[in-house]
Amino acid sequence: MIDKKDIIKMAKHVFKRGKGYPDRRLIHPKREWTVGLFMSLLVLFVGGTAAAQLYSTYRNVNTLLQVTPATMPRYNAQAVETALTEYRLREQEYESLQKNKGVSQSVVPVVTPAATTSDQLEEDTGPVELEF
Amino acid sequence: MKVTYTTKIYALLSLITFLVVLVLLVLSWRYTVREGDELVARLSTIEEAQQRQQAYGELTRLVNETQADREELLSYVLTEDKTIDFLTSIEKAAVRNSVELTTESLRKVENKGRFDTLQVSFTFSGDKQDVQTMLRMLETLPYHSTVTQLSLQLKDASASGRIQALARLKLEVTLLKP
Repeated sequence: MIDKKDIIKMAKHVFKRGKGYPDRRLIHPKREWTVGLFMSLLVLFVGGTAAAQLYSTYRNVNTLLQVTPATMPRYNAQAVETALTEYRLREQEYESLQKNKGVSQSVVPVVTPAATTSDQLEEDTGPVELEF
Repeated sequence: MKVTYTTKIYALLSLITFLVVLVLLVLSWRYTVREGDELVARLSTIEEAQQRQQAYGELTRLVNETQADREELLSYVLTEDKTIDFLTSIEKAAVRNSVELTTESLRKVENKGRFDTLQVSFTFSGDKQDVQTMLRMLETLPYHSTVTQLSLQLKDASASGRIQALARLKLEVTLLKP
């Protein structure tokens, strides 16, 4: 007995056979338009991306600059001033000693642990040796 | 459906146009990148030149401003051609101080850099007061120098009642290379 299900199956079979002939067309306008549009969009997208990348790269050129900073030699003015003050004092003292040889000051630094200076040395001392 | 001649021409033209656009796109991208890199390189060069010019200006100003100080500071460093005068002035100072001075050794130690070291050893004897003055003079020489070794010996009082002293001293003086 043929029921409704079989009838539908047969109808579908017949319908499929009707469309089963080979397609001999070389050009499908709809397909070609779609492919063309897709390719155009692709080119547009790639081009746009490349342009955007170039723009973002060169938008602020200053960040791309590779500059070797010029090295400035350091001049320690304070050290020079300190040294000059010290040497001016030394020179003044040297000149005053030359003019007036009677200046008496402690010459020899303190020797530990005996803590003796040349001013404190008495007669018949043995040699006092100092190394700086 | 038959493909007509016109359709073929259109298809070919479309393909050629597509390829040309693609090639132009790639070429323009490469050209832009190349020009951009060139621009960055030139701007870097200009920036470097400007920085150098600025540094040169500052350096020139610094050199001019500090010339007097530097010359004065340099005058406190012994040079080789002044060595004889230096030794002579010490001998004269010894004579003025009535101290007997003997130069035991004189040696130049070569160092790396701009400065050498002149090592001089002296022995001098005389009145304690004169020796002290002489020591003080050697200590306060107006040159970059250091007393590195000192030996002092006091002797019996002489007939005049004054204490005699004998000192051995090693002095290192910085010497500016010619």
